[in-house]
This record gives sequence, structure tokens and C-alpha cells, in this order.
Amino acid sequence: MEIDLNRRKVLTNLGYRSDGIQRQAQGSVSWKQGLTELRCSVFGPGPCRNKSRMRREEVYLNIVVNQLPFATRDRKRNENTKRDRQQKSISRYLESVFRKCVVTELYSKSQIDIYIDILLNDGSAMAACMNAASVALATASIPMRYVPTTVTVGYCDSDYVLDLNADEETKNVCRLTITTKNGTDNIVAVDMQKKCETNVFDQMCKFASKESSQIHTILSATMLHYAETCIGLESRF
Amino acid sequence: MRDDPLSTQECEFYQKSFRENSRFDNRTNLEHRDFSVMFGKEFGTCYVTLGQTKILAKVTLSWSSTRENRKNSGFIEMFISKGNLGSTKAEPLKLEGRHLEMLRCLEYVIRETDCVDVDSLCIRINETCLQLRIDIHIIDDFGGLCDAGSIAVIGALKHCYVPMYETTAECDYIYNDLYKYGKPLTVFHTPIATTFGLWNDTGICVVDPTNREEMALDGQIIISVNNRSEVCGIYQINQIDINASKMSELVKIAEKRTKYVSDVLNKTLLLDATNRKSGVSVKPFHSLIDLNSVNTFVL
Repeated sequence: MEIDLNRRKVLTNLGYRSDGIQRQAQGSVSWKQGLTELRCSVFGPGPCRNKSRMRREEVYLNIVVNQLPFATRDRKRNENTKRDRQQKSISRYLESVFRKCVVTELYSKSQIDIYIDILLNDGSAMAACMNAASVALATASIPMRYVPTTVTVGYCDSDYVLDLNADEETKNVCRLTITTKNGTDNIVAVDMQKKCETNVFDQMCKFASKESSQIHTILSATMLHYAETCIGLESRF
Repeated sequence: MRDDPLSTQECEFYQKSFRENSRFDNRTNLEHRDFSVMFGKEFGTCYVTLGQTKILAKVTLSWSSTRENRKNSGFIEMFISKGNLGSTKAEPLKLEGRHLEMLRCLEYVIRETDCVDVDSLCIRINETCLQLRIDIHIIDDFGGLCDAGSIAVIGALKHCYVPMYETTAECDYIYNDLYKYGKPLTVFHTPIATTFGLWNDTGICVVDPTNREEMALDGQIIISVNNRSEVCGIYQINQIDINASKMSELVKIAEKRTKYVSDVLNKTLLLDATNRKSGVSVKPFHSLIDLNSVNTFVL
């Protein structure tokens, strides 16, 4: 059958997407943040496959984070990666944000699958996964209340550093991953590793909230670029 | 089975009490429940009651082989068991969401922030070490599991004694009498968790919510601060929406709570040590049956 490549994507009455482009994923993004590289795919909203996890008024988010064996310098075996502690914490972090960020009332009794493959992990993997997932959800045309902007802040040698890499993470450096709303002062998720003083912690929160507007500029520019080139919306700025 | 779902009237009642800064057990929004600490006859046992929540923690050191990735240190394992004592709706072998959250929070704080000196638990490099096993028993569950659990675990670790061992070329000797030959476990700092319930739409923050109040709130944030004013861990449950300056206020409240809890814990440990030294018999845990005098019969 002929495929009309210029046809716009529409939502049916049930909220499911239908378009003529033969692609597997409804939204996908290839994200590279420094040397950290990952792929993110979003499937759905579709019917719930696991009926026990179906919710009456909300969408069920199935987030699977998979770090490939060659992603770190020490090779990890493949059968242990699904039960790894780090991947579970990343998927739990993503779920705690997107359950409020995604407008879930539109897709009751449905399921949205988010699959993230980490190809190369060079530090700040949680922030990269969050930013990539938000862009992927935007490319899948899933409505969100705000853009979750994630930034990683560290404290090393009496100075605040931003977006740590793997060598900086192996040191005994306090790390703080903060997700804000649209790069503003409202914090919607916090994850902290190692320990630091309370004064340093306060300054790190303020520093992260201040610097997350840079990430928000990049994220909104990426989403707007995708909207202009692929969906065909006109630029209003 | 699961907990009874919160009805709409109950939810509105709790939210009204949060708005009016007067909770149903006569607390304001920033007040904690009373807690008590008790140490058992064996070394490394600690029993904490926080309001009506009751948690028992036991620390056991046993001989084991070293792990592959860390050859010169011991390791810490943490287990949580909740029996049927506190609730008829509890399933025996299944950890529910809240208990699993408690395990994750405590495990991260104890393990990752170097709370216990695990390097001194190594007997022979690459061969044998002492394994530190922490068992947490949830006897009664009325919310505030991370708070009571962290107090119980820290108390048990401070109460624990490492057995004396002697290393020769052929074999190792480990002596059994802990009080005579052992030495206390090296605890570097004492992180104490404080739970804050957040109501995101109104910006109201509630300290130490009970299990029914947790259902009426949007999310929780658990801040662990140690006695040296260091933030050891932040754990988030469900959804939060908080300001950076509000976060600073929460950290200050957790810091004050940690100083108070550390003082009470140190006083209780000192009292237990003086009682043992002066020969006063240590009361076993079944003597707690005296606390509720209406329901007990003591011969």
C-alpha cells in the first residue's frame, strides 16, 4: 500500500495513534551526552498486556533500563544486568517522575512502554536516561504537564561541578541528581549518593536549580526541532 | 492481602487536619511521635518503639569467605522480615511496597555511606572475613518504618561486639566469649532517617506521618542526617514537588531530630553498659509485656 509520508499524525477516539509510517516505535531518540550514549524507545499508549497491573484511571508505565555488557570498562555478564541495582534505581527514578508528568487521565487502562539501552556509560547515566526519556515521550506525542529537566551536581575540592563523568564518579565525591520542572526551582525528584554537609547540600540544590535552565534550553530546542521537521508544525517563535 | 484502602471521608479528614495544623493524635505538623529504645540480653539486639510502630533489629557476625570484588574487607547483608504479629492482612513471605522501600532506604544508608568499618572485619585477605548480618523484624507497623528502622539498626550496630580472633600461619582462632574477649564494632557515624510527608498541591509538609496519613499524602521524602550534620541520603517515595529553599528547611528539621535521637541513643547505651558492669540483670524482651497492664498477667 502507498504510504503518505506527509500525512499528519492523528489520535483516534480511544487516544491511540495511527499513522501510515511503518516504524516499530512510536517515539525514539538516540541520546549522546558527552561520552554517555543511549537509545530510548517509547511504545504505546496501547492496551495493557498484564491485566493485574492495569489501573482504572491511570496509565501503567513499564520502564525497562538495560545496560549493555560493553557499556562500562569492566564487562558485566548479560544475565545479571536485569537484576542489577543501578538499573532498578534508574527505572524507579524515571517512574516516580513520569507518573505525574505524563497526563495520565487521557489514557486510562492503557500501558506505555519505555525501553532504554545504555550503550556507553561514562557517568551521569541517570540524568541522561531521564532527559532522553522525556524527549522520546515528546516524539511519541504523549502530552506532558512539564518538561522534566535533570542535572547531576557534584562537590569536589571545595567547588561545585556539573555533569560528572565516570572518572569523577569513582572518587569519593558527593553526587546529587535533581529533576526540576521546566528548569525552574521546583524539584520533582532527588537522588543522592555519598554524603556531604548540610550547607554544601543547600548550595548544591540551589546550584542545580539554577543550572538546569541550560538543560531545559537544549531539551526544548530538541523537541521543537523534531516538531518542526517531522510533524510539520510551523514555528511560532 | 493489602491494607484497607483509604475512604474519601477519611482522606478529607486527614487533609483537613493537615490544613489546620492539628493532627488526630494531638500533634502539629512538625512534631514527631515519642520513641523508646531498649537493648536486649544478647549483644547486638535493639528494640525500638516509635508511637505504636515496633521494630527489632539484630546484628550477627559470622565467619565467611570474602567476596570476589572486595578481597580485603568484610561485607554487610541486610534482611527484613515482617511476621503476622502486627496485622492479620500480612502475607508471610511477601515484602510489600512499603517494607521494600524501607529496606532500600536503610540498605543504602548503612552500606554506601561507610557507616561501619568493614575493612577491619577482614581476617585473611582473599580468604576469610567476618560477615555482618542485620536482621530487622517489623513487629507492628503504624508508619514511620524508616525512622524506627534506622534507630534500631544504628543501636544494634553500636551494641554489637566483634569476636576476638587470632591469626597464625596454620589456622585462625576465634574466641566465643564476646564480653570478655571481644571489642566493640567500629561505627564511624550514626545516620538517622526522618520521614517527611508532602502534600504537593498546598505545599504542606508533615513530619513523621502514620500509615493512614501516608495514604492521604502525595509523596514522602526521607532525609538521613548523621550526628556530624552531614546529609547521608535522600530517598523519595511516590511523587514530590518541592522548592530548593523548602528542602533546606526540611534538612534543618532532620538535623535537629538527629541530634536528639543520638543523645537518647548514647544515654541508653551508657545505661546498658553500666548495668552490665555492675551486675544488674538485663531484662529480656518478654518483660515488655508489663507495658500494657490491662492485657497482661505477670505471675
